[in-house]
Amino acid sequence: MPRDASDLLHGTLDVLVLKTLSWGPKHGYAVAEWIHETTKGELEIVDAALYKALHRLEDAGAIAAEWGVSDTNRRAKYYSLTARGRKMLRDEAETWQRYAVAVGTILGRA
Amino acid sequence: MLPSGIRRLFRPPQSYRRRMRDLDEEIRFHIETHVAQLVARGVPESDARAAALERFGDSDDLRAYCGAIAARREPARRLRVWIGELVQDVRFAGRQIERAPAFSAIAALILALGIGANTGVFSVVNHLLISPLPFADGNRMVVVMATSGGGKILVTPDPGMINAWRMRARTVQDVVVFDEVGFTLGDSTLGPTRTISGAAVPPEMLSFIGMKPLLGRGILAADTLADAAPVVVIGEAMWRSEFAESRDVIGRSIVLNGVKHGVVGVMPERFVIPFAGVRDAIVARRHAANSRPAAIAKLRPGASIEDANKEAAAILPPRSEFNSYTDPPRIAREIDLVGRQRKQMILVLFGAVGIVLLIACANVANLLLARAWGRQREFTVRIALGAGRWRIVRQVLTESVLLASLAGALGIGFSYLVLNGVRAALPGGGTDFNDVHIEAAVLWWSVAISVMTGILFGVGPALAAATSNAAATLKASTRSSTGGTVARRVRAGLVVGEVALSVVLLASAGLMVRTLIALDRIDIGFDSRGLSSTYIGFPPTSVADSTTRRAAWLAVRDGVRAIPGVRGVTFAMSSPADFSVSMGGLEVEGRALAAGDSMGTFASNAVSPDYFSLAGIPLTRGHTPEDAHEVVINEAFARRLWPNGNAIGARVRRAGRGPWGTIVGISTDIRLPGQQTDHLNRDLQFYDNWPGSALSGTVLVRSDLPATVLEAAIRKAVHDASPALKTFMPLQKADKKIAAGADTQRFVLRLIGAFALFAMLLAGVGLHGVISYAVNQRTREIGVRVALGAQARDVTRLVLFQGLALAIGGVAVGVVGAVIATRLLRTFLYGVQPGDPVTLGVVGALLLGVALLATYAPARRAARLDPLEALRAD
Repeated sequence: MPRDASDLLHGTLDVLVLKTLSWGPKHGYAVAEWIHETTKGELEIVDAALYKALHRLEDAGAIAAEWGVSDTNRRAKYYSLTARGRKMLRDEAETWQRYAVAVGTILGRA
Repeated sequence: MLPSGIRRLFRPPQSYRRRMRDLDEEIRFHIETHVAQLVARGVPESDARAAALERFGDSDDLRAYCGAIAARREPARRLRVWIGELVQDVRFAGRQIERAPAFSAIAALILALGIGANTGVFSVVNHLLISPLPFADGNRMVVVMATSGGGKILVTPDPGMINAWRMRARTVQDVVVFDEVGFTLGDSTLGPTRTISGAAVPPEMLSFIGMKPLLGRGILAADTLADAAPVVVIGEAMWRSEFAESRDVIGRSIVLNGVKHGVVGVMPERFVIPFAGVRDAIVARRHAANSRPAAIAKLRPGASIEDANKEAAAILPPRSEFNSYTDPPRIAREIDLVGRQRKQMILVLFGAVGIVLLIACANVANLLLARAWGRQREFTVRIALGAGRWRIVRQVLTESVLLASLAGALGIGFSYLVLNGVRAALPGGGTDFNDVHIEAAVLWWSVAISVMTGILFGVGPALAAATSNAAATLKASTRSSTGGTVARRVRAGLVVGEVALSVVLLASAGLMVRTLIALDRIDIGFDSRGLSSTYIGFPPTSVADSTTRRAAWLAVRDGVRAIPGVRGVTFAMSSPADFSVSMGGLEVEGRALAAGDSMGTFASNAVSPDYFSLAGIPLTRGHTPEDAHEVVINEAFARRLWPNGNAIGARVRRAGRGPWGTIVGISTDIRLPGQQTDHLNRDLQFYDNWPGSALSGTVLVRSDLPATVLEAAIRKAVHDASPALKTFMPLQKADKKIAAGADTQRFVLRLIGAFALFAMLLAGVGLHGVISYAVNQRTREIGVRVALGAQARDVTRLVLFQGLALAIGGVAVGVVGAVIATRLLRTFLYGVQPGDPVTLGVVGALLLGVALLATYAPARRAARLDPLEALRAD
């Protein structure tokens, strides 16, 4: 049973989504696919939680949405990073890195 | 390419339904794509769909989540959400206020006093300075002005100038010419009389100002005929005082200047003659001879004051042959019913109540901040639970605005008291304040300042609440929390501000006290004790010739002198306590009168030979004027015109008119309180001979009899001397008149003094609160100090110094502020300068004393701390 979004802090999911979009505009399915593949299913995230993150980030102005046409020739909503989103990603990534190093140091020593 | 944020601004807001449709399409696309992919990998379609749906999760939850976002973004829904949150906030705020009733009551009371004082004074400001004039087209009304001394002295323009304006001006329409007349109301042979304001007006006056009589009619053309019966239209106040608002007043009569006038109309309460400020009585203007009229007009629509002035410069004579003014004539929108000094006074008061309100805000902010820190845990928990910081700010602001609104409601009640206080304290009874009411504009004002104060004192606590650091607060106990440093600094800043503002108010009050002392110490230059005066004369209708008049005056002298208890009597044009002012300058024989000479005005009097001895005015040289060819000037005048000191024997006259007179004596200077603040050069004094056959004169009496007894006895003596003589002015005691010269100062002092004391009290309370709080926070530290051997005395000193440091900071800032702010008081000051170091020193010392007093209790508490308990406490 995949975990619900509430198991993951909002921030974590947001930063993953931002990272995903940093290589270019994607529609929701592509974002989900990318996260699943990159994490090899380690982070079991339901798609609804991803969409919540997408809409939340759009509301915050970190990403912008536009309707486009997918490779399968269907209408799809494409998300892309805004300037604000890029800055947010930089800040959050840095925080995460430091956090990870700190936790890693403690665990490595134990 | 525009930044996306700006592009977003211009994108039309999408409707809620459209967004939800889009979401459904987005979900559908996601599922279909997922299914298609699984099918492509060989999964049977029904299994693929089930797998895709499972991995998608709760789509209803997603819909609700996005729905909330969409609702927030759609304006109409956003408003609904906002109102919902507001209601929630207000309810929550109400509960907070309920939860701390004593705290809320104190805060609301402090604010109510501030808001009430503001509303009360604002009602005066609104009525006198802001409200439009009560006339039709009042904003187009202008007046032709004549001034002297570079615009400093307003003088009556002469008829020639007014006529030229009326005939030739094209930028104005409807010029109305009228005379301002002082009336004596009542028959002096029957009882006391009083002076009222009046005007002689043409029939078109009422339509010009756009007012209709409440009862009866206005002045008609027929009333202006030479043989018409004298009629009067009275103001509402007169109707009330003389006829008790009786409806059948029309046809009854009143006596004005000894002549019976039939009442033909009553004007409504707001009635007033523009420019002159006449409210009591208007009569028909019959002839223009010998009058000193005023002319008011309406500008043509579209014409500006500048246009009118340009035209006036072209058509009006630059200087009249009467030589009573030296400035070029000008047109002004000077329909001013308030008076410059009064205006200044009201603005000063308004500033003072503004300061009081600011101090009240600082005080309440301080109280709230102390509480906000106590509630930090609550806010932190709520932020952790997902409340946005903005939401918390809004909530705290809602609380403070609600508190301020309660205070505002209380304050409106309080403002009635303030207004009545202002009215009662106003010099001259403040009759034109009677129609000042707490009206709609005033209520809006108090609502506005309530909300503003709510935001002002709430913004600090709100930000404090929102910036509370979640982790730090949850970990640490509130008492030793590190966030306290910021709080302490903010609160210390507020207290410094309060002390500084109090210094400004106290310094203003102090300057007024010093002014009053200085005014009281003025050597007035004559003996005012037991000196009284009354103005009598023959009415204009009298036919008495000069021989009869001379006999009558002699009879009055003998009659008054015979009254038991009267020590002396003399005649003059006016009392030494009540100089009249002569316009146009004094001309010295053989000297050219300089244009724009600052000697355009001087005080003048016509006196009998024994005037100087009776009034107790010593002559330093020479003797009193014995006949029409002899004059006396005072030392100041002599010094000004003859710096080398050979005034005696020189010949002078009022510029351009009258006979030449020889200076036969030099009198000592008379200085009256209040005379220093106008620009009429009343310190230059001129006396000529009062002719024994004059039409009118002031009876100057020295006696210790009570005023009422003396007045009745003099009235009888006057009537016995000649039934034709009328009393024009009631008996006036010189002492009272002199004291009245400082009425404005007394009024300003009374109100500013009250505000200043209130401010000082609030500052003391604020200081006490901050120091108490600091002592509580430093309990542990103080405990350590005591444990390490600090004496009670050391601890006391430590805390006292902390309080004093704040007070000294506040006094330093306040002194700078006071030096700047008290300049506004300049017109009311005498014998002391704004920013007077003695006053500032005393005020500073006073506030430091208050600071010590306010800090004493917490200091004692700190000194008595038990170190063991203090260390255990956390």
